[in-house]
Amino acid sequence: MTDVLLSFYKPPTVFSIASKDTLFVSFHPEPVLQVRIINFNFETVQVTWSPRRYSGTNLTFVYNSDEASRPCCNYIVHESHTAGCLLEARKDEILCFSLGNGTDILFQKCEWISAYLKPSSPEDLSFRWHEDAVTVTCSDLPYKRLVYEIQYKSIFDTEWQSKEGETCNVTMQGLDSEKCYFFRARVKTLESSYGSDTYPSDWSKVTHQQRGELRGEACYTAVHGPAACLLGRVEWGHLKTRMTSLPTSELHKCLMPSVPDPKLTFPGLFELHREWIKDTQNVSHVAKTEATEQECVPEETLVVQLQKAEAEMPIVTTGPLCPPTEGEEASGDASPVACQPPQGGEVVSLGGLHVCDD
Amino acid sequence: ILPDALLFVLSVFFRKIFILQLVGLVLTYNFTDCDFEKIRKKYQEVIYQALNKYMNGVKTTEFNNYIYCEDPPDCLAKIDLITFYPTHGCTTLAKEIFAIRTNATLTLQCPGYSGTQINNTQAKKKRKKRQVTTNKCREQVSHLMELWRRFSRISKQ
Repeated sequence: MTDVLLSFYKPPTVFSIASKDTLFVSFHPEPVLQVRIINFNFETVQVTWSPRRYSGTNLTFVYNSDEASRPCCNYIVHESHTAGCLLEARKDEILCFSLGNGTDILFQKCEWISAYLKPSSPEDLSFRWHEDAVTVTCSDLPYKRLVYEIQYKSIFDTEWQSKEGETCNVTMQGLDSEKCYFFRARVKTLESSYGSDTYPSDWSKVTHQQRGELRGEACYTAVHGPAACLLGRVEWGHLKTRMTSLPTSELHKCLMPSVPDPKLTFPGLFELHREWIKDTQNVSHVAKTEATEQECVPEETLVVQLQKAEAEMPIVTTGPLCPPTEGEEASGDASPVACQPPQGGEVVSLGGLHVCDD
Repeated sequence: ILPDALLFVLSVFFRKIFILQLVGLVLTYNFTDCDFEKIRKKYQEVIYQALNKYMNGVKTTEFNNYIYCEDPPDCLAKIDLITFYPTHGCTTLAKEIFAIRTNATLTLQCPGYSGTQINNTQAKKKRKKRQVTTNKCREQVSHLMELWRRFSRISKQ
């Protein structure tokens, strides 16, 4: 970005230009105009100015087009006064323009519009996975000497990794296709071809990929931990916002990932403990227990209820270690620590998980 | 008395006429048969750095850049003109490092280009007693840099 500070000398046909850093010639050192130019993808050129001495004045913008002088047709207005002009960019060309206040020309300049290029953001990223590498592609812009930057990170990374290429065809190695990754892309210009005053494009939308597939919101529900889905793409400071913005069903799914069938994980376990299973067959109804525990404020401890081997998948619920019963509340004997199981069952603790066996 | 807007348009117009007349008078070599891709690579590898060093942090956008080139041969013709032919207020560009490298590149990549005969011994001595870079010379080099950038953008990959 370049803000060109100008000073001028009357008569207005003679002028000097002073940079922020180096003053070449100045007859009136007090800057009066700050002009900024942005070339949006060689489609639209925006010239804005902030007059200091002439605040409250409608400056007129005149530019050359096809060797003819034309006034601005599309002014940008700020506080009821002209503050900029939007022009159509036809090609890689020089723009000569002037800013005037009635009869006086305050500023004249000729510039290559390429010097202020801001490329458009990449769209429609495509992904091609091959073992531990992924190639990201998108449509190249119709002009050259650009740098396409792809950034990626897994849900466990805090910093983005970056890879660049001269075309929108960039391969990144050393990735784990089983992990969920976030990708984004943008376009920059080569300084030797455009100068140092250009702007990078905006970042593309973030895309989530796992096992070569677009994941979307499912990228967050990793089995590595319930908090990962909340930390996936938000910063810590937005954690609360993220939690309150998620629908209840999503939050429920986020904090309580599904538990795989233990029978499949530990082959033979149920067969070896057949007698134990028989003893636990007479249990109170699951639905009743669920209804009770769902009234509780969820805490970090999971209460996993095992069903009979040939019955449904295990149901995961959350709840306090055990909510005090009405009687306990009245007598003040509620014990927040000890797990008071429902009638007829016993408690098994498995590495921090309290298994209330009904 | 002409209105200021008309004066502005006329000044731009006359500048272009002047440049074109100069080119018409001096130009004898046709740059059409040059290897533009190799020249572009040399520009990015060695000439660009030398131009930047000459400008010493001064940006081209601080000058009025009004010299346009249409295609690669046109860009090289104007680069050759500004680099090697002295103008009023700036007569020593031909002895600068970027000019020497430009001369070498064009000689190598443009069949029949005779180049500029620069006395290397004199050039070294001159570099020791390098004159203070004038604003006019920086303006010329600013035009050169813009022409080189334009050339690099439009030369085929």
